[in-house]
Amino acid sequence: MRILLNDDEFSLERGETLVALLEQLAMRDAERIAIAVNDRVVRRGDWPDHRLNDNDRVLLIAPIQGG
Amino acid sequence: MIPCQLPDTGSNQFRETQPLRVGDRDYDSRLFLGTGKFGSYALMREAVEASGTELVTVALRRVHLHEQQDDVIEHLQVPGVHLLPNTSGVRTAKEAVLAAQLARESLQTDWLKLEIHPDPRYLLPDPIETLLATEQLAGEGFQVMAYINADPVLCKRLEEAGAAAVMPLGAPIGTNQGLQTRAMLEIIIEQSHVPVVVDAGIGAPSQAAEAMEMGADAVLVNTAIAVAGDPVAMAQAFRLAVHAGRMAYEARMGVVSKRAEASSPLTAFLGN
Repeated sequence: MRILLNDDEFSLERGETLVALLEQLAMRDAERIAIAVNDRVVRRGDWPDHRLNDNDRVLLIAPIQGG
Repeated sequence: MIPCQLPDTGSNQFRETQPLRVGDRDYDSRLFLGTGKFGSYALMREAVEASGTELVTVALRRVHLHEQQDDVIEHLQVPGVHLLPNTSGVRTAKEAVLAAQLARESLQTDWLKLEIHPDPRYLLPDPIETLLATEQLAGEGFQVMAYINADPVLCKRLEEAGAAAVMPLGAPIGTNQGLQTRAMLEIIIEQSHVPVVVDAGIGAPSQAAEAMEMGADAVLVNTAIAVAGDPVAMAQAFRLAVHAGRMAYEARMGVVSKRAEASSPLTAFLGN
């Protein structure tokens, strides 16, 4: 399955859920990331069950320094 | 909490100033700090501690997949310090709403510095998109602190839309030009029923003190501290200045007059 991850094409190889995506990225335990799929936030508790579809736009963000 | 650990002056202790209520929270410190541009996380943390602040901003950005992720929040775990995520990087109300929702999910806070500045040259905030986003986000339970130009009419509209605070700029972000908008800030402060936080452009402690003397409820400073030769010392200087400015405001300053008013008696010295 191919998705758009932070605007770049990305191939999902280990499953079709958000958790599978995070595992593929080695970010399963990242504490402060947040995710939106097709411009809708998916809450952390829903990641294991949220199934991705071809061409979904996934936005993965994290806090950084800033004013 | 002691709002400001100031030098011991013997019998004359510095007074505490009134706490500031924004939304559902009280702050003893009226200095809010941005965390951008510090040379290292260690320096950022030291400056945060030296400033005495209780509210620090952070930004959000897309995760770079091939970069080592170093968690900035770990370095901001300072007792009494709360996080204020901003929406920097968005260009429209729609993008701001999504950024706010992501910030809430990431940091588990309803607090938000709403900033929508589509123009990269001057980073001036878009008033229309900011108002639209404030209406929606306040309705979703966010404590919206809206960064905007020093426009008194817009500030009232934001207040009506449910903003927890308005954050008019003194000058464009990062310019250190001080209170270029002073006359408009005075009107905003006079009219506002929500806290007024002067944000952006404050480049020196004296300018922060000036804003506080005018009656601003707080100031937000980032660049002036982060890029100083000694950011930790500068953070402390701002802490003193903000405290001094607020003390002066609460002490009620004398009126400005054109003609001289003698401070000493002008009669009965060496006869008539």
